[in-house]
Amino acid sequence: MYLHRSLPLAMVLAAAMGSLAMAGPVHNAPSKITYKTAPPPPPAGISYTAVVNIKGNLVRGSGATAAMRAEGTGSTEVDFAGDVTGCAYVATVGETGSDGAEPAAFITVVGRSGVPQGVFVETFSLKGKLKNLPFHIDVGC
Amino acid sequence: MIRPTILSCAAVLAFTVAASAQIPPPAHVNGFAVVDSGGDLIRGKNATAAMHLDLGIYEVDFSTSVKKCVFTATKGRPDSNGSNVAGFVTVAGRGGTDTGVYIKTFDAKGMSVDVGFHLNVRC
Repeated sequence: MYLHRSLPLAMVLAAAMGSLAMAGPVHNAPSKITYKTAPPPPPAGISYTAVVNIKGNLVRGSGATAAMRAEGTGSTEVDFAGDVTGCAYVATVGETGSDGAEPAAFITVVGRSGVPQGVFVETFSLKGKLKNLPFHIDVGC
Repeated sequence: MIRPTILSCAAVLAFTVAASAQIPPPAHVNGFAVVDSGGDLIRGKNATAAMHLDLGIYEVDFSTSVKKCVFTATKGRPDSNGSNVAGFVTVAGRGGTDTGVYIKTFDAKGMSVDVGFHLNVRC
């Protein structure tokens, strides 16, 4: 009798958990960083660059102001001096220095939600799983 | 003792001057394009058109010849919402036109798939 009454509740819970598993985590949710004023876009022809290490820290770059782990493993936010919403972002997985090399991996880009000067970069292993990796990014405006 | 030192200094100076003369000027972006999965040109510089040719195949055209330029591209949405799944992008000059770039996009398993991408062209 007890089992019969709890069965609908168990079914509802199982369905809810199943739908959560299907939906997966939400990436590139609005950034927690807020800027008082939006920066102006850079002059046409300007290229911003950044080299980011495996910890998500900015190592060097041109016009890059910060880099940080955005939403856990494999996600990084890179910020620049100007509004980059009108630019193209091209990135490649790669070491920050001249020692060693990275194995084959994926990288994708998208504008950072809520941050006009930010780019949201995700790095993946060859199996398609999010993984912390160093990378180089070139933002052409 | 003095003569060899002067000669070696002159050699180093000559090498430095020669090396600095060979350093190319800083590269500037001569064009870029951000294209969505449907092949629409969302934004760009010197990009005149983009089109979806077939599953996972796109052409992006520019206002001048890009025959001798460098093409780099990364899979990516054109906006600031959501994110992407892993995938590949490859580039080539477009056959038959000096102003075009030929783009192919793939999923993580190497199968052709329609996805948005960002393309930089430096000449």
